[in-house]
Amino acid sequence: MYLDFHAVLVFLITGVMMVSTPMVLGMLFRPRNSYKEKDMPYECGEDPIGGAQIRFDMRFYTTALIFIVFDAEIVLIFPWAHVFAHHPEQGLALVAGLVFVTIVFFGLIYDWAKGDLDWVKSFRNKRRVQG
Amino acid sequence: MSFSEEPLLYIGVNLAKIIIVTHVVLVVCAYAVLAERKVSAWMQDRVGPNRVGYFGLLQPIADALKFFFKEDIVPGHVNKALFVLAPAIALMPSLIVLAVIPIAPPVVVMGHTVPMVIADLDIGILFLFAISSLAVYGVVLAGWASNSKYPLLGGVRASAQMISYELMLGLSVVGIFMATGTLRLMDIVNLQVDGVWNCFYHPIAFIIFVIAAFAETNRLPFDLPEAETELVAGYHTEYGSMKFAMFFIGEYAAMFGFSALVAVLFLGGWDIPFMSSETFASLGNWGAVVGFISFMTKVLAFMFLYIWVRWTIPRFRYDQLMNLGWKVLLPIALVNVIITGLFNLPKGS
Amino acid sequence: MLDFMFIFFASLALLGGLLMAFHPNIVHSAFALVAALFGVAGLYWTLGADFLGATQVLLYVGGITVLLLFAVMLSTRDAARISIARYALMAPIVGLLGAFLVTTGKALVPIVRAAGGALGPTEPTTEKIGNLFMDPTAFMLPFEILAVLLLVVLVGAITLARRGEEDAA
Repeated sequence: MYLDFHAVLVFLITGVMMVSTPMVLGMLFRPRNSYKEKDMPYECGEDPIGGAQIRFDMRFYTTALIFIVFDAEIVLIFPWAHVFAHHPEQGLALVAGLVFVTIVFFGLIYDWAKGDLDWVKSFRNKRRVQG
Repeated sequence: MSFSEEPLLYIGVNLAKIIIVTHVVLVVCAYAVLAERKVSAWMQDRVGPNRVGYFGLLQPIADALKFFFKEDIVPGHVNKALFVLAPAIALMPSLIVLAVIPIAPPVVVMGHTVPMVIADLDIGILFLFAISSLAVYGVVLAGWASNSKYPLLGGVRASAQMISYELMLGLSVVGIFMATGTLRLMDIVNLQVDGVWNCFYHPIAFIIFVIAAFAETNRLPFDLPEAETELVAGYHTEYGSMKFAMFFIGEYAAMFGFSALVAVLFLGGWDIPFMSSETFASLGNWGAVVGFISFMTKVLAFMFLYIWVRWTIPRFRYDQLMNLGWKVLLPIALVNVIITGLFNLPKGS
Repeated sequence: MLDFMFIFFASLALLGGLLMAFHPNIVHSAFALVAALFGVAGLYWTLGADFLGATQVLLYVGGITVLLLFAVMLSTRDAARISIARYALMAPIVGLLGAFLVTTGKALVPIVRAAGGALGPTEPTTEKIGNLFMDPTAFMLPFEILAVLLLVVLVGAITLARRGEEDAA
């Protein structure tokens, strides 16, 4: 069938069991021998300085932001791709899709021009953003 | 055949499929680890594991036992709930994805034709992308919950990398679905069995997809999230014992999943060149066996490519990785969609 | 099987939602939101809206919540703790919403029954959606406007994020 989501659910439950069984079963055999050094964050034997949950760079956030917009666009392209080959009004389907993809492309060009796709920020962009 | 008509047979057949798929994955993952160690050793002119069993063939079993008997350290500084949950979440998506992968031609059981796929979804490929996009959570949670510097850096790197390359993954295959007019993976394979493999029709998509698959699974040359020389082991630095094993199996299961997807989308699935669907059907249930062997050969060959590339191409820098994704692959993938549209003008025009 | 699917995904959505609203740690909350949104996707699948369910997982679970987690992790550690006082505010809101949903839900049941009551998987939806997108009399214009909208969203979001970055620098 085309809507076999219940089979997926059964598979999901099988997967959960497959993951949890070895974890729980292992508890019976495992030694427990914890002491202070084992409790420390691993930093190659050095004593850690400062906390770990630091603020990280803004660029990761920007990347995720751009990703979501493109993701939404890809999701909308799929129904079009699905009907494209068999559509009775061939030219119309082509134009509709290509206009959509082209608009998506403009988004990419905009980001590119604005320097949002640069991972290493150039000084040129830096100055323009501040100015 | 449906549940309402013959409930027992229906349940039995479906459970059998689930058991086959899960066991294939586990065995392949276990031996992929051994294969990786062996192949790596040969490429570096070493011998590799050869103590446990002839040729080291029992090594995976020894490894599994070791995972069971090692102390499961949960360091004092971690966020316990998420720390325990993260490995399970890292493994689950790469398993569930396999539910929509067709592994062999249909089998005839007691007069019923049974498709050899757990769930023959109409939106197969979208379901697959949706579920595999969840894999990022295992990584990002492991990094955050560890409350340690290397894991956090690895986790954040991994999440940005995985979401970026998800785009190329999704966009590269749009062309195939435009040409075939279906999102069901079963149809895609059937069309290739009686036609030409998609890797010849969509070579650009094939190349982009393979590169993106390497990045999605965090394998070399894109293994920045766990770059040993900078981040110790990346997001799973603080993990040991069975929890580490979950990340490890998860990585190999993801490799298996993407290899299977490449085989299904581009390499004809279970197709053998010069065999049509009639030839498979004429062999009866042996056709399914032959098809399954052919499918697994392609999957294993692609997994070998993963290992081969690992010892051939050095690791990218993070900015190079992001530039490659956003400035090279994404524009090419978009142009590829447009070109495919122009080449595949709908029938009857 | 349909009942089981409904119970499974509905309880996932409900438990995830409750945990999201009441957990003191905001990263746990964000993660509970993942469960809640996935449960909703499962409900879509239960009802036979396959494309919508996949979109829900792909966009909300795989995209927007990742962004949310990033935003939370970008903020400092102190901000990751939220006072217990929030419960006092949340409890009546959740109570009112719950009461509203139960009453409207009850009112909807006879309407659905009268309409034939055919809930559950019937046939795939993606092709229909695609055909509606390609139909000039139906949703072709909205489809193109959607692309423009997403373009505007992209430009706007990036501009806002940039401003935040400047302030931080």
